[in-house]
Amino acid sequence: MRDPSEWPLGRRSFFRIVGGAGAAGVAAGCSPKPAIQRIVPYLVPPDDVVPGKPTFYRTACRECGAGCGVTARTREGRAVKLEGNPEDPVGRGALCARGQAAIQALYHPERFKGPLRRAGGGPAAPVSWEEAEADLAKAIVAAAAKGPGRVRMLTAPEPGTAGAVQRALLAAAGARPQDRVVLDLLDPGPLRAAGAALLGRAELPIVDLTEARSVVALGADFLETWGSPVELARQLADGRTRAGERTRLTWVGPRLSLTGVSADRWLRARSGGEADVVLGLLRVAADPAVETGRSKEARALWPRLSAISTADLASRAGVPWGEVERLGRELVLRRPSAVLAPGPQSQGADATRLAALALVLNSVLGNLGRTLRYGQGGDEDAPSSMAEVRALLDDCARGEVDVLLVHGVDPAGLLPVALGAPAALAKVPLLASFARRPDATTPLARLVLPDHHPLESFGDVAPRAGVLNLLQPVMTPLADTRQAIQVLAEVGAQLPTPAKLASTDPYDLVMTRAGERVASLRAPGAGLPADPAAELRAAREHGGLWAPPPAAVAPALRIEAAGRFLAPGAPRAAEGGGALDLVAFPTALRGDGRADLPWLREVPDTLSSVSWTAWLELSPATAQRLGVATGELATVTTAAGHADVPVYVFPGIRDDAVALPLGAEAAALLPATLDPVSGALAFAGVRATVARAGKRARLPLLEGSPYQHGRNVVPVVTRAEPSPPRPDLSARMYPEPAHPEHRWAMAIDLDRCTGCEACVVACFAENNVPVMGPEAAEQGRYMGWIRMERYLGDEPGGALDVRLLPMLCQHCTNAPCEPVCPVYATYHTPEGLNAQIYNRCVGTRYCSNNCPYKVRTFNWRDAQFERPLDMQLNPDVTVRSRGVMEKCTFCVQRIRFAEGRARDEQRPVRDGEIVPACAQSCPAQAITFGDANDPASRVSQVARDRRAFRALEDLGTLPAITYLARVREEEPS
Amino acid sequence: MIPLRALAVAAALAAVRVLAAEPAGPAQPIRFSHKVHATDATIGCTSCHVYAERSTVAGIPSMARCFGCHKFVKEDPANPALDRELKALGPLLREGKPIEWTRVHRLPDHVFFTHERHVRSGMRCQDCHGPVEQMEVVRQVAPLTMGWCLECHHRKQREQAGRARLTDCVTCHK
Amino acid sequence: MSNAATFRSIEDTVRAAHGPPGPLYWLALAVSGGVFAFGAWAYSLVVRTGLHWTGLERPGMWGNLITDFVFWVGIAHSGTLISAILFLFRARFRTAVYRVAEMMTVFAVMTAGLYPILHLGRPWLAHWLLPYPNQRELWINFRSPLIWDVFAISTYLIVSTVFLLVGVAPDAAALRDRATGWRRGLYRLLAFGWRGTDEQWRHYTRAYLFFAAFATPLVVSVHSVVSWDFAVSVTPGWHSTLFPPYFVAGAILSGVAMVITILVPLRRAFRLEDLITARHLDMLARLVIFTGLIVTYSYATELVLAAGEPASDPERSTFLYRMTGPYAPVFWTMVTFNCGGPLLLLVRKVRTTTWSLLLICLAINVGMWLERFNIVVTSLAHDRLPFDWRVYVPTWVEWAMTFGAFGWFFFLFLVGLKLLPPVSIAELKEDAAGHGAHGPDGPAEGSHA
Repeated sequence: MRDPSEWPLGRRSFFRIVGGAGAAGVAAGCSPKPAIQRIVPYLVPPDDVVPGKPTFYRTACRECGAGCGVTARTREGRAVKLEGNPEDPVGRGALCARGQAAIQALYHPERFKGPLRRAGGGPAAPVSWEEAEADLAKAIVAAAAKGPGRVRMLTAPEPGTAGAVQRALLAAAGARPQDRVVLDLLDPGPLRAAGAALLGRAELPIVDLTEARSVVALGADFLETWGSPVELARQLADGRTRAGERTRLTWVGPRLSLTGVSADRWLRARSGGEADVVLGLLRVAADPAVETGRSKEARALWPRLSAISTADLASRAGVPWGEVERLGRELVLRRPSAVLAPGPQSQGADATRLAALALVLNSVLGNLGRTLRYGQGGDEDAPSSMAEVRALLDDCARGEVDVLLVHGVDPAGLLPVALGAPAALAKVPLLASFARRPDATTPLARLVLPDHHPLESFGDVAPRAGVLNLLQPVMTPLADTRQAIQVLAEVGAQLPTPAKLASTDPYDLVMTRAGERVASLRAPGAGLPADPAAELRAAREHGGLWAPPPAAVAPALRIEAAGRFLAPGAPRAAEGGGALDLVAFPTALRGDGRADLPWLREVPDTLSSVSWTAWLELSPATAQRLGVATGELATVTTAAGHADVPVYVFPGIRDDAVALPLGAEAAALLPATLDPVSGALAFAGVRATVARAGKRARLPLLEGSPYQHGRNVVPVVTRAEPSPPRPDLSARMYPEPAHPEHRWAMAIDLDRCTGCEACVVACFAENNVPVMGPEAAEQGRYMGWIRMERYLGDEPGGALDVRLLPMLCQHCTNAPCEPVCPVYATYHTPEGLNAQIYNRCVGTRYCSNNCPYKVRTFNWRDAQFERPLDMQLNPDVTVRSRGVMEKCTFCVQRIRFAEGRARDEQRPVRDGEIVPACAQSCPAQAITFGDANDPASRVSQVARDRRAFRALEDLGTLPAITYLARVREEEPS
Repeated sequence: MIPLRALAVAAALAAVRVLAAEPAGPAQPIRFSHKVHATDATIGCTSCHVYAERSTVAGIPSMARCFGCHKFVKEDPANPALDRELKALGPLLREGKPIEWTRVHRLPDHVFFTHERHVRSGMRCQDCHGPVEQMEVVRQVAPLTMGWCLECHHRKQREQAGRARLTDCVTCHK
Repeated sequence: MSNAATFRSIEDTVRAAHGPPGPLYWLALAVSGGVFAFGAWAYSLVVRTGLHWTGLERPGMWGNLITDFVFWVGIAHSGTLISAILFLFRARFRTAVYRVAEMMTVFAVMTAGLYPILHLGRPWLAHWLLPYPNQRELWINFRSPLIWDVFAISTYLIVSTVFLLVGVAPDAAALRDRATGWRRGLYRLLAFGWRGTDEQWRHYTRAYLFFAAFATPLVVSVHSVVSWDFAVSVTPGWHSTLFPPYFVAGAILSGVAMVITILVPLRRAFRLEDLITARHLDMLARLVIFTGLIVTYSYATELVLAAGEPASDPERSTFLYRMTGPYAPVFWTMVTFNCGGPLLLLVRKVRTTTWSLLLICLAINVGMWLERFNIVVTSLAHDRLPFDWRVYVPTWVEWAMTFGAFGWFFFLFLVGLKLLPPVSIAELKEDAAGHGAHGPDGPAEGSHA
């Protein structure tokens, strides 16, 4: 246990180094007064830093393939907060939870301090960059001499300069194109294969839901990890609140995912039954009885389709035919639509068939070119198939690979154990890893060449045609790391036939390449830019080069090719032993399972409310049959292996299925089965047996009761009842506090909210919310200022009815917490905020007891911000010491900042000028903030919506937060 | 409550007499004289403390700024004492070593004070820092206690209408 | 009644009680002191690294410590009731027992007063709860029930202490005259120069009457204030207008029960049987019955009111939770002990048999602690948003602090017994002399003997 007074001093000393100018004055925290403080001035002041003022840099996020633009806020030369880049067409200013957390990878305490070399099995010892690069070059030359295939690379997708540099180096080393293997576990490769077969285009379509009136997702969790989640969440939300008709979303699969929670309907298809659902939909869509004016594809396919027995389909899909037919008719009526598949949860050994059927259906419905856009260059640097990865590993195991460069991936830790990556990689004489911090692969590496964090790097990412987001360093590197492309370029320069590269300097490499693309990134017909250099300069300032994408093509469907996918799937082999379908799913917070950043582990999963560990989802019936309950340990066994996982009983899963999030446990259970056509890994179609291990597990669970117990805390609205019930509060005994100038208020649209928890992580980052660790989490000691309240239904055993309620301080006009505080540590400000003054709080905790919303969190112990994570702390917000209460402040520091600026410019605060961290990050733009005193402000307008309600309104606390109820549509008429 | 506040203020002032404002300022690494710079050389405060008008902190002049002048002002034969000091600066310049000043004015970490707001509202540096321009060695004249801040904030509030924020806790404690 | 007892015999008995302590006493002292020390050590952990040692967490931010607070305030009540109210009602049986009751009161308040400070997140700032002028121009929030507590408890501590000392004065004088060594010095101090002159007796009786009258309303007010800690909140299970009377009755029940629990072994150990007679105990037992019935009635009222609410109502849900939830054992034990116990006492045999009386009173003490636990904890654990519900289980640290308080209380009490006369010599003499009122000669003579 470190001395509580240690870190603030630590940060102050940090200020002394870079801040100078006594910025300690604004440093946060309560620390004993040191005897003497030194103030060390700059030698030469950097002209882009004003101590005490933030500096903003535009860059881009590299946490997933979406490549959203990022605005990094820095203070005294260190990054403190990541936000979206409002100019970037992908994210439009929003940033997901994983994007927000990227900054913790920058400040991760375990990061390598410099290059390491492991001499013959010995421990890794520090080495100079020059030596390390020379070693690598030597090894490559030696290996290249033995002929092609001896030098390989395994990398994460690098759609940009980094990819080009890698290819150039490998080319210089005489490697073949296929020697560079690109690994992305969540890549929907089957869709590419299906595109090749049916449309002659082996590419991923760009999904655009802005026009979609109906969306069907079969295991494609596009609100969490599939495709470009931030963008798709925004598009869906816009469709949801579109005037007139509301986009309808249907989720198909054995398990209700977070995307499924946002759906209007859930078809409980059995695992592997998705393809038959699509086939059924196709049969309905092509049926002349359903639609007379059919597309030519429909007409062509109908003879084949009509032969299929609907009863068979239904039984294989595991859903009543009626539901399939109704959905099919809906798709026909509501066009355009989008049928999205496959995703990890539906990607089995026949994934290509599923993808193909989805494509055929989309084509029949005329979605190609509208909601599924081809020819907009979805994948520069498309990931390789798992088959190619396995081939690489086999070559390694056979000792046919001398040099393996591993960049941005952790094959030993990420891939299914069944693929035997660690053993294979151990056979490679020289494995060079560019990992930034230790992972399962680095112990096998002869050379560890730690890469810069993207926030320390130059780079570019082209998520699709018309978008080139640029990365630039937002701060000086923390350690003696070196950007991978520089290392590769320098190594390349040492080869006998030097790599064809303009320079070894990352900046030059990136800018040269960007310069080449300027022309291509201009509106069609705009011709060449007058001054490319100027355009580049602007691009660096704004964070990228953007142009309207080329027109999407609507490729014609090859009917004959489609034919062979139309055969119904093989009936599943009946097997005993009570085996269950294993569903391995990614989550919005933990992605493909690699996410190991404090925030992403501390924040509970929205659906299970579990944090820090993996969990096993079982339906109540199954759990009862197996005699296990939530919090007990269960042993899962598959053909590949077994794992002990704590059980979470979840009504949102079929009785014949069991689910767990991707991660170490899933990796141990997944066999190395591949889809023969696309070579993609088969996540689905795995059979597992579950037995109780008979021990209680450590399961940090946030939820108390998942049921509303008739209290209707989170109402929904329907066509019949367009407004939630509101109590009559006209009779009041006491006058309400006056808000002469402003009354800050917030509105949250639950019909837009997807529960992705981007707001939660943003709040952690902005407000120095501490991470307390798994032990505290088991006691429910979760410090988050926003928590996702999730209800699964009304009563135990009742109908599944998932409702989300992001719960944060309601800033009540009549706040119950205020009168009970004996020392005025919490009080009502003239602007309607319910303020909490940490340095006045003595910790009676009465305020929390009296808060009906229970949004106040207490510092049971001193929070630890292990260095250098403390460099991320926001200097504008106090770091709370133990024994004080804390809670949401509506980001008062941002409010004050805006008010100050308005004062300087002698003008009132503009509506929308103040954006709290949560509202800023929300991909679905569900959160509105503003002045309720101004009837014209957006928040006032939203609050007048007929869907408006307030939490526990009958208490008369008059919250400042208005929720707009989720819309529940009756079945289509 | 009014007599009570008076009492509190009285107590505050008493406390101030006793606790705050030690007679002489702390020793500094070099004998830097604000009197010489601000009064004799008539250099304005913000020409060295450059951030005062636009940031939370006033800023300690960078070494570059010092030597902007002292490139030329290297000696003062007329005044041997000063001459010694000036000559002592030479090495610092060549070695590019920053001077480690001893902090004089310090606020607790839970106080979010901003120079910007105070300077822009037309306050003079001397209002809080005292007649620095006459000090050979800078010392703290004001107690910099909460009560002392509030005296002024209360007055401003009485003078101008609609300045509720002036005495709102979250204005200084976030 | 001790008419047989002469003045001298009374004094002898009392002085015998003050004689050199036996091994049993030392054992008791050592045990209580040890338990207290352990509790204090447990608390030092909390002070050093924070309240994470407790099992508290949202929604329940109060637990054992606040339970203990309410419990000890309750214990404190009987003292004033027995000495002041019964004095005003001229209930003669009080004379033999009120000194013990008063000592208990003072020590119990001292114990209770600790907890609001112990349970703070930053106890070193406890003085911020007091209204004192400061340069920050900060003031306390008089709307907060916790501030009301501060005043209620401190007032009660002062008054009950003064009342105790006033009562002791003549006895101290009596002992002073026959004591030697440091005891003589102590009693001289406590006697406040008592001579037993008519003048002094006149003032004494007036003063005593005055303090009795002054202390009486406190019996009602203090625990009403404590009950407001809960009653003024919006938490279901707390927000109830029934609380003040309910709490006062509960307080007296637990208090009297504690008096009996202490008296029974005391009179045996100190050979006070012919001063504190079976009749005295009987009277106290009747008091237990009376207050026990009020408490039972309060339980019933609460349940009936809650039962009237619609099924989805949090209030109703909370009471169902108390009866059927994980805390059901607490609830039912509480009901059995607090409602059943007093009813058993209706049987004369049970009431007059010492061991059964003692047993029942012990049960009631436990039951009353559980009652407070039931009120504080179950209401919070089952608040308005079901998603936040959480079962609170006290940690060993909290238990250590709970029992530490008992150690501290009995330690003080044992020491007090050896220093202060456990029964009121003066008033017993009055009874012995058979005067209705204080006479100039009676006690004065005694004090000169």
